[in-house]
Amino acid sequence: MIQRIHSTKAALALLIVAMTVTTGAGASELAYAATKEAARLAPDKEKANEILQQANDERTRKKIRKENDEKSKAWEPLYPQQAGSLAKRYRETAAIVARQGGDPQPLLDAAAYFEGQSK
Amino acid sequence: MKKNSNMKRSLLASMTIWLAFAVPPAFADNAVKLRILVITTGEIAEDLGLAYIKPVLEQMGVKYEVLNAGTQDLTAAMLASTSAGTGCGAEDTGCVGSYNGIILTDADLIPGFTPAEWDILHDYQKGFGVRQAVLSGWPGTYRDPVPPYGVYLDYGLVYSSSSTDYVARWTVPGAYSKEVFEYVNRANPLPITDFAFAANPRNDTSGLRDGSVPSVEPLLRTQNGEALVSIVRYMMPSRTAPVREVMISTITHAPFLVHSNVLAYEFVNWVTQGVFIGARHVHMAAHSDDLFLANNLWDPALKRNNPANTYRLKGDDINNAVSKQTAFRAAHPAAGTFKLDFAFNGSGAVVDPEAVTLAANLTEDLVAAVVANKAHFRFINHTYTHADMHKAPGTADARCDYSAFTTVAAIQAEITRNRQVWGLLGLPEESQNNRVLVSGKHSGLKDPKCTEDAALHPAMFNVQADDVPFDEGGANPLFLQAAAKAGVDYLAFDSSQRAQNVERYITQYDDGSQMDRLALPRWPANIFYNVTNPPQLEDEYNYLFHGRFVNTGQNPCEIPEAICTPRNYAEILVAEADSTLRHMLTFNKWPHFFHQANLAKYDESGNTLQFDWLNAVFTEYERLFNLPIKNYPYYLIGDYTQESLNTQSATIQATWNRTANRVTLSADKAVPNLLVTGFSGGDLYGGQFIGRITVNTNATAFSVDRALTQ
Repeated sequence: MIQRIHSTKAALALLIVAMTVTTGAGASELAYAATKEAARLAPDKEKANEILQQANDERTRKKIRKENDEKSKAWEPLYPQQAGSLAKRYRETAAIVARQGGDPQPLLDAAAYFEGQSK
Repeated sequence: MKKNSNMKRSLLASMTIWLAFAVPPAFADNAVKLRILVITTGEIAEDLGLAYIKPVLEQMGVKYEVLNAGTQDLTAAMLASTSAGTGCGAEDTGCVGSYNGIILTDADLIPGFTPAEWDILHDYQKGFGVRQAVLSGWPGTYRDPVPPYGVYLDYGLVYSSSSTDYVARWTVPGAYSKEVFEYVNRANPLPITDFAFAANPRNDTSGLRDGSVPSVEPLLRTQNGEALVSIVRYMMPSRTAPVREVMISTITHAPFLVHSNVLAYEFVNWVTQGVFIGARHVHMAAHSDDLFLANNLWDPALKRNNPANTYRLKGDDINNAVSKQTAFRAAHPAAGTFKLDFAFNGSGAVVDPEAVTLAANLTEDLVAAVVANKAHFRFINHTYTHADMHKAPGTADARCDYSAFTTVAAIQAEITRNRQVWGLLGLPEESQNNRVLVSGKHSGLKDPKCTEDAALHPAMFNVQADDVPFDEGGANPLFLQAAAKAGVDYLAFDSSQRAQNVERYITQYDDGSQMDRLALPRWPANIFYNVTNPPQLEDEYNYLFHGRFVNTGQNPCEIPEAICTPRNYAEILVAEADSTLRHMLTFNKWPHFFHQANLAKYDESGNTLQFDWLNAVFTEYERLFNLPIKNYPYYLIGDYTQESLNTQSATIQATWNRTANRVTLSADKAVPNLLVTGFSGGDLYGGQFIGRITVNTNATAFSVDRALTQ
């Protein structure tokens, strides 16, 4: 009986993990939620702590990498101009894609992102 | 004004189609120059891709030329010519391709590159068997709206998603496993932390107007299986081999992104088919400064150094460092035979520092331990007493935080007396190291204008604010003259200081010598000189990067050099490992510098800040890379830097005859140790042969070995 409950819980945890890997943006947040759930369902408390610790380490590493990225950007004097040029080019590509009958929206989204980066 | 006429364009395109269907590739000479063409959308201020790949090419010593598609037309004559300089085709005898690789900073090069230019480029690639890499951009398909119509650009991909947060996974097919991304740890995911498009391979029968059909093999995919980096092979129905090969990345790269740094090498390696002038290694050297002296320690209560608290290593710390170094090597395969370098001050290792004739204090605990374990470490001259080498103040009665030497001889004695201690202690590699000097606090290379100690100037938020930097005459000519007279060739620079973050000859100061000293930058780490244990480091780190801004009413979240929230020790190590990884992935040889207090054993397990840092850095590095680290002594870093500068100033001609599989090289001057990749011989590194060859004004042929079975 206990075994069956565990396997159901494990299946649920796996499902959550599977769901997280089928989504795009915010992948790390969803992955962390899944890991927490997997840790909660883990039969061994020590193992659960280990899983959580790894997830926390992963989150910390990613958060700090992002922070270092932002600092590095701030030290690049040409970056705002480069991002602005990129935004302009994506708008031009979007216009061509639209003329060819394609969907320009992803390019316009990219242009908006880099316009934001240029400020 | 850049643009070709439509007539010219349609004629070229028609020829392209005719050639593609009617004529199989014919290689009369089958030769290309070893040089890359980088096609950009603009100048470096407008093109992030150029800003990304340019320093990689230059650091590696790869020959390249840039074509700005926004202002220049691409012509066939630029891509291939005879020895007389006339344009030609691959089928013509004596025709040599001008480039053995093409890098595009953007996938579609809109708006500068016309369909006709794409046809010219593709014809060149097909005719000469030259590969192309696309650094980033939209994976689109483009049709020519005017005759000859048809699709002129197609990567065989369909947009799927975009994000600034992918967890990418390696999916390099077995057939490519000995050729691409051999240096990465493919077992681990690669976080993509900034903007990227992701796409799915179409792999249908739609083709370009030259009849080729793109076949896509993703090498790096998102967590959803979408392609981020792929190889596209353009196939013709009747042939098994591709007529053209492209590596495309849809990730937007920048020089400051870790994932970009990880991928950069392969763009160069792929397009050149692993045969190029230049090479890359990943380096790590850790210098522990001030050996034999005591460092003042940070006092968390005072938020500054407390002169009552100092730390000088003990013999037990040295024995512990030997054990920790052994354990570190065992834990990290990439570390190989890594050795710490001690920059030492001999005045702390002699019986009487003031004596005319020095005597080593061999019975003293620390000195005895260093001598007993000298084979485990390397050593560098850090001057005899760690004296300041700064310029003397303009007026004799100026209040100054430091005393300054006023003669060359006095400074020279600081260098030579330390060499005497080197000999007295019998430290290894003395003669090689006589060419190297690390001045105390890198002094003598800028003028602090008498304000150096923050504790003595509470009204100054930053005591360095009034410094006169190296490039504005701040260096002390007496110091440079003394270094020259003492036979020092290489001087340590602090890369965090203005104009000290470049490896170059010091030409702007007259040091009285025929030769110029060479500046060798070192990277500082945020493991400060005045800390021995994690709580102390945490306190100083959070004060310097957070607390002091808060105390003065500033918002640290809005200050680039500050951190938004305080960090604990583990987080500090993660941040340090991340920053250091970025340094390592530039392929620079620069060492990182620390201080002897960081080797203090801070717990019963023998842990030290120094080895905690090294372990954190290598753990992070080995997550992503499998290349062994090069851990050179400082004098060798100087020698290799000198060679690299010599190579940069030479004009080198190299042509690869693919039929004979030989490269013929010559230069306008002697280049004794030219680094080359993909030539027979040399050392196997990351699955490729990297060698040092001698090139001069006479043409010499070398065999190619791409090591595809290694």
